[in-house]
Amino acid sequence: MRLENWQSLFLKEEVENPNFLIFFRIAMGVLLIFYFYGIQSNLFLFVNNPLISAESQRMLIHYNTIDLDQLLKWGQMLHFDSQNILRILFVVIWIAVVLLLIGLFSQWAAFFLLIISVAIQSNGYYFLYGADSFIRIALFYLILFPADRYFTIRNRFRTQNTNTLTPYKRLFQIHLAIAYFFLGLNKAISKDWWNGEDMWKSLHSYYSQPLFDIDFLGDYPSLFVLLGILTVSIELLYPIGVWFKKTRKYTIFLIICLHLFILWQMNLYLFSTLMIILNITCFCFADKNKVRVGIEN
Amino acid sequence: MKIFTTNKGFQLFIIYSTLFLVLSFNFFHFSNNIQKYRQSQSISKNVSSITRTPTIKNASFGLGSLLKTYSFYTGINTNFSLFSPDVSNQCFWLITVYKQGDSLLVKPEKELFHPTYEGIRFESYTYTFIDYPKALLNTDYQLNKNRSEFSIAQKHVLDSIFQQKYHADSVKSQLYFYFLPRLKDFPNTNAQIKKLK
Repeated sequence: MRLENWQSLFLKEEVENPNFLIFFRIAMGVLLIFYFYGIQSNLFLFVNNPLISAESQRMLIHYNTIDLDQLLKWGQMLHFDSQNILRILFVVIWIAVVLLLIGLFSQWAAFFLLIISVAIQSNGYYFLYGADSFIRIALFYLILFPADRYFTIRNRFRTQNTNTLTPYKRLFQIHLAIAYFFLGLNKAISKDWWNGEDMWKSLHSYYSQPLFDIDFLGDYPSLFVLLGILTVSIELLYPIGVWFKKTRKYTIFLIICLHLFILWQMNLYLFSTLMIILNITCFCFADKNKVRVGIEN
Repeated sequence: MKIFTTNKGFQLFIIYSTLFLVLSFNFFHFSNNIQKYRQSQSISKNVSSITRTPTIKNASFGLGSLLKTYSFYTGINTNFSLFSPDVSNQCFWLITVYKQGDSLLVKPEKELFHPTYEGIRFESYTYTFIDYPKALLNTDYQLNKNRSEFSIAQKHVLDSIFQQKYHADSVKSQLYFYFLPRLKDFPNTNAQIKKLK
């Protein structure tokens, strides 16, 4: 692909329909309520003599991030005790989540929530998993997108600017495609995804309370082989599947089924919901406005 | 924030830098995983002899560190090898297994709590089986949870271990470790797949 074509992929203003952004902002707002509620209810994992000491966790973080301890220290310099600082912090977090949800200064709200998420995650490095990383990615895109320009309270007070949505939507789509491709590729190098062992393991994670008991399926190992190969194939072929319009809806259907399966059988509610939101945002909304398409037709 | 949506040059900068970092990190993680996978294949035959010292690095302030920090903040550094369990075979816990009725009781050994590495022990210890249940002699165990699979959902595991550390007498029955025969062994073993509660 020539450079001009490559650049036109991002700069040619093809995305006119802002519905994906409205969905993304509101869905993420709702999800973040659950995310921060979960963190608030488990704060003892992160601060004030946490399960795993912050010093130990910091040894493994090679990033210069502002962590929760640092924020508490700054607060203590202003003569606040740590409990009060945490209370204030969560009040501000909830305000930011509401601002994001209603679309008032949503980019700034996302920026603040990203900084705070990283601070909390830096204090709980051992408790991080896929959902935390993808929350950071989603907040990053909420900063980039002009999410408060459409279907928001802000529109009532300011005239709507026309902003191109194409560049970051394309970037987001490619980012997600790369994510799935590498997920598939990393699974493909291990023989246990091809002989059903990893699928068997995945469905028996000790923290999950599966919807139904699948132990009896252990007598039919070929089923796990099939499911393992199917998972690797869906993820590896995801970029191709979503690139072409003809295969897009089937690919998205399969990937959403995969995440629903993960949600029900592995109980990764937050992760699965988040991935479904990202998939719908990136690939389930037409680029053109339907009204306009109708007129053109 | 206007610059994100109005300046074409800036948009292209964000796009290219993001794509570059996403691809770089993922190729890096992928090559790392291949290496880990090869290692895990060679060491899995002799699990009890593995010891590994955690590598501790301090954050620096160079360009590399800046890129890493930026990538962490934006999630770009996400290791998309999430949930490839057998790639992480290097992580073992030192435990003791006791048979208790129909269930198995797993007890972490004291050596697990090495004072120097308090809090980071999960990534670097071997496990040994004492009173290894005969029914499971030919099976492989799933105690190789590494930190990439850690989540708040696993809090109860950490809880149990910490209680074990501080109130060793009272928590024997609260351990929640989970044993799972490999799929290929499943029909041939009498082991019951059950959580210890």
